Amino acid sequence: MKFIIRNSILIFLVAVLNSCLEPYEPEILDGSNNFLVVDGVITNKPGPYTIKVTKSYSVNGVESDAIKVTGLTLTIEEENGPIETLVETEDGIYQTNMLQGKTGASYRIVFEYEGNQYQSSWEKINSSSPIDSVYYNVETKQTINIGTDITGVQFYIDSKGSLQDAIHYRYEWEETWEIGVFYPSFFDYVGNGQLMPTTDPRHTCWRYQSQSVINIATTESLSENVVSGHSLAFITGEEERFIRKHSLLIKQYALNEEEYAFWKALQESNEQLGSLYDKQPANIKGNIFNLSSPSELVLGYFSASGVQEKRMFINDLQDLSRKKWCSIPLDTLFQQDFGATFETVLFGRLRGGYFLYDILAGPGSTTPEGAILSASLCSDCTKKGGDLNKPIYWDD
Amino acid sequence: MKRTLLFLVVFCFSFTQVMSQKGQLYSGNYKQTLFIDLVTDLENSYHIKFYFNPELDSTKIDIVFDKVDLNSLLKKLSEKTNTIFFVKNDNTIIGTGEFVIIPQLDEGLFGRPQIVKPSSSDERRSILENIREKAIIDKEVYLENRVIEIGEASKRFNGETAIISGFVKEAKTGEPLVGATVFKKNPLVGIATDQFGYYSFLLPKGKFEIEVNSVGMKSTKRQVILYSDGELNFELRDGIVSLKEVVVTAERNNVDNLQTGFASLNMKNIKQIPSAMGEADIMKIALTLPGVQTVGEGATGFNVRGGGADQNLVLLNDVPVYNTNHLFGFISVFNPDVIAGADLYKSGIGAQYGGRISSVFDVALRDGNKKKFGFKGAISPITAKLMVEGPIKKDTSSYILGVRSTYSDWVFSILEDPALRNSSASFFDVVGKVNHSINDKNELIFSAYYAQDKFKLNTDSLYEYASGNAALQWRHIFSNRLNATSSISYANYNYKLSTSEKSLEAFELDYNINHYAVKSEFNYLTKNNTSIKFGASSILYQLQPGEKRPVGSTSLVTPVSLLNEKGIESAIFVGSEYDINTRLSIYGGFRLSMFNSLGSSQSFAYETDRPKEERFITDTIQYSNNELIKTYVGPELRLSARYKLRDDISVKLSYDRMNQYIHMLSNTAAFSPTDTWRLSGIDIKPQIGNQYSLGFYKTFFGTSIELSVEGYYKTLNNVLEYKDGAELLLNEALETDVINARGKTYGVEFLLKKNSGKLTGWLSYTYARSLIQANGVYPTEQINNGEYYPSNFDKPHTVVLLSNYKFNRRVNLSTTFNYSTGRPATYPISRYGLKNQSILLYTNRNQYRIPDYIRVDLALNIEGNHKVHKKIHGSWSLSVYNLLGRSNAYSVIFRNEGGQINGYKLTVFKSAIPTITYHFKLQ
Repeated sequence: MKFIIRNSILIFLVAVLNSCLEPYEPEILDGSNNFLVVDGVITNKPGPYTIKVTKSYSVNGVESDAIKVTGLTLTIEEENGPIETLVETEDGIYQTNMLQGKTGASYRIVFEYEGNQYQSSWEKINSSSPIDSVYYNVETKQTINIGTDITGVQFYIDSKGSLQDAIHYRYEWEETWEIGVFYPSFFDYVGNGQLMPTTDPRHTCWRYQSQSVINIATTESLSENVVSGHSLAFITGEEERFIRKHSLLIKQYALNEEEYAFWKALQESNEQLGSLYDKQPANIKGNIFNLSSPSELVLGYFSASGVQEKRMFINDLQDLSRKKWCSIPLDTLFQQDFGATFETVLFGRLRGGYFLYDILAGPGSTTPEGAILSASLCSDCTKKGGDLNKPIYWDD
Repeated sequence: MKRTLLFLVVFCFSFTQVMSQKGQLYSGNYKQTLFIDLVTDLENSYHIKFYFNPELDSTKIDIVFDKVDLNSLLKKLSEKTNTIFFVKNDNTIIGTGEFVIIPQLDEGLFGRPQIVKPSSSDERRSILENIREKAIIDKEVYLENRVIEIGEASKRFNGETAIISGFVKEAKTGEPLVGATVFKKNPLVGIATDQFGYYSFLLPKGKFEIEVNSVGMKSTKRQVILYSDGELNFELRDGIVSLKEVVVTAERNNVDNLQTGFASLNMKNIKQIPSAMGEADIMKIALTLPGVQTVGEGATGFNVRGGGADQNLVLLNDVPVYNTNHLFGFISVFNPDVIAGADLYKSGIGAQYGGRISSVFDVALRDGNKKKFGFKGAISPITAKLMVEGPIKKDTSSYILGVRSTYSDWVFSILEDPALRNSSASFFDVVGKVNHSINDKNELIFSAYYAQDKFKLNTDSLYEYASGNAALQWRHIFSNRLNATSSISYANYNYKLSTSEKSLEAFELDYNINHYAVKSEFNYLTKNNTSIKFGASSILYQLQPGEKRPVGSTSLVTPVSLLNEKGIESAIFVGSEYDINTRLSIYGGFRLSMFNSLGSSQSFAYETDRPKEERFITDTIQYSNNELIKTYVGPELRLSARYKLRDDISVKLSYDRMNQYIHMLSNTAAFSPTDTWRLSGIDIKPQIGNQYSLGFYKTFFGTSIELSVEGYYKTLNNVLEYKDGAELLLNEALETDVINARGKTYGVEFLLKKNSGKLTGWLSYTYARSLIQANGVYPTEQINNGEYYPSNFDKPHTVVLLSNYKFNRRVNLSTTFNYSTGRPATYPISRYGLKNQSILLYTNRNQYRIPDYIRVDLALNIEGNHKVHKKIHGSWSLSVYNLLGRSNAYSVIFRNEGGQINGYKLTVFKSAIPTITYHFKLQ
């Protein structure tokens, strides 16, 4: 409700009063940037479950600046149940082995760090109501700057649960989309004008992107536990999305009231719209405490949630795609320019990162008259951030 | 006294006669002839020339005269036109309307009436105006020099002192002049008129001079011989009419009066000052005074000496206004055409005021013109307004009514963007007042206002809010020692939000507050000339803090209705101003306020030794209807003292204690439209303010320049602060989200003010701090580790320069310059990753400041030409808000964009905003 008003006022101001946001970089004192951060979740889906322990870092820094807290003995306890000690699989990343979260059971984490005892409050896994459907509309949205509307795909979710299910929700999503290259290379040159299907195809990749906004919902004010038309991701055709198939995996986490309040407060502080009536940013406390020194600020949250998932595919939105033309032209090697050294030069180029786009040969001839080469940026999808491994859920 | 006045009138008329031209005889026969044609004919036929009020032009006349002298002709014409004609130089005839010209009889004393030689017939009107002014001046000079006897001579030896009382009014409209000073010099004894223009004070018997001053009015004086108690009424004229003659003497200036932290804003003087929407706005002018600040452009309300916006008692005709804003705070609800002015008390607050802890902003409505009908209006690109006024019965009762509306709907409709074309935002307000004098001793006043705002966006959410009040006041003069004003009043504020964007979640949400009050206030003048003000008041609050309902058959919204709140705020008060000697005066006031929180209601009991959090609720306590839930009693002492070091230098001290039982809840930097007023109760304690103030005042060049330096220190108890992430709307257990915090504010205010001359205005500098401490027992009740931190409106340095330059009587140019330190803000200090997202960590509140604020405005006012417009006068005002086009930051926000944290400043006005307004009036 606040949101509606805020949004309305924003639009009003944009329209009538010509208000706007201008970049402004205030000087921020880098103070004590070493708060302990615990990020973990246990669900009713099979594990392993992961707990990340890091330190907070400078506002002006990058994610890799975060110090990883290693060497902890970290356990997850089930209330009136087993205790499992997690294994540090990477620096600062701890994973369970056997533990299976159960709906209705409560869990907490316990660890010791620098002589202080830390633990989370007990968190119960609530069941998450089933997802009815995930659907989308192609929509054009106004941005904060007049005249720069953007078109994209707006995803929505409907879910319907009983009042026994949790009534607060947090949504996570992950995009997967297939990308190609401008000059695909299907063959390897084996010499003497012979082509073989390539052993290392680089023409089809998959890209992944997880969300960057907090997305929560509640049915607290409704008489039924019904989420209807709740907005999820808004995805534009950038980064070659929608040229080929696109997939979105939606995860619906059931939250208890405290965790919902935590995320809501984070959202208000972190995703301010820039309106006249923004709430003051606040210091949001999670559910992990230093028992030895209770005043210490521990960041993060250990959450226990029932999860529902739904994956959907989009195949037919090529209109939205923003295809990037490859700016590097094809290069052609002619046999007559090199004579006997042609193949040597050609192999050299191929080893040097060029891809074979095509071989020029006369009819019936086994001697190539030339080779068309493409730069790797135009033929290797991994150069565009793609992953060559086809996801298991991907069918052609 | 009455006999004296009557005598005066007769006396004046007896001088009225017509001088005739010798020899010439006149003949004529006119039927249903326009006066202008008749005159033209006469001018063509005889060697005479007429000058008269153009209003006469279209008067139709039947007249027959045959060989009569000029004297007889003019007598006849006088009868037909109700105009007195005056002959100058045998052939120049001047119609003076109802104005009397005193001829040469007392030449030595008054001087000859001067007549300006006409250069062309177009200048008839301006010549006439000069004559009129001269006539007025002469009449005034006459009145000022004549000795008036007050009381009965036979009682002259009964005691040594007597009371003079009476009304001070505006001569043209009969409107009472509020705050006019009536005084006698050597030794100085003076008093200010009350809100009815009434004054009453004790003076030694004998012969002396009484003077009257009022801002913007020409001052006058009377020679009196005081025999016994009696009346003396004054009519003052607009000081602007006769520019050259007038030396504007300020009202009882800062050196003389007793209050610290007081400012009086007279609507007459501030209309020329520029504003964002081309609308003179008394609240925006108040913001240029030292010690008065705002959170930012478009922010609702104002902050006085570091207090919250809900801590100001804003009164319209003595009834509180719960929401003073139109259009998100860009315009106030006070229609400038209908209000007379406003008094702002930052300290030195009289005992008759109470209920808010920071200031009193007392806005007075004008009285309607008791003599004749008039209207006034204006059109600007955003608003249109009209005011009408006039007598219901001449000299006895009058009305005034003003309406205003916006047509920004229209602005939306011409926008190209299809989404915005379907949006709308609008407001209107109506305000009016009726005065009726039953007799000399009794007057009834009814006033009311209603203001409404609405906006609807392309989305289907509609937002409406409305505020209104009405009051019936009865003014009774028991004797010239005792008078009383009693009133019953009602005030309301409500808002409604509805949205139907998603049919399953469609809802309406209402908020409503009702305020019913009775009040009686008495003024008593003791035998030793001490005036005592005492009285009592009681307010019944009934408020519905929030009700949410589903809309439509498909909506699944659960209805939520918070329990109504009810409370009674009562007070008795007494205050007296006492002159110990000519140098030292003191004011002492005492107010005993009481608040009763009443059922039906419920409250929650919490585990002892636990913070008030929902999980620690142990029990719900029910209260039946009108059951007493909680009582708070607050004694409030108000003290002021002024010591005059010299006639032009004084030092003042004051102490104020105030209690506040109704609070605005808001955890946004500026008030948002969904913020609500809530009453004190078991857990929400009354806010208490204590203020100590010390001031130094000096005037220069008479009183034309005033300098004041005021310092203050204020403590605020039980101010409401909010826990991190507090939810204030539809919150049943509000005490779980609020903290009873404490505040301290202090500062020094410098003000240099020029009151007269072509250039007027003021320059002020304020150093002010406003700090808050939330230091509860439990960590969740502590903010910034329980240490003092700057409040949202802590702006240490403020400079305002406001100037108004009058080029001539038709053109003036005013400019304002504003500088203030940026307000405090909370910036992130660190980041961390959580669930694949980068989260910003904000810890200590308000440790940073947004960039400083600088704004320059300009307004040019051009009065229409009186020669061209006859009855309806037009004028133009052209204003440019934010002339420099500076992008002042309203707030600074941070966004995570692709892992990179970017800072932005939100700017409300990015460029200069020009507005042109056309004003018209009939007068």
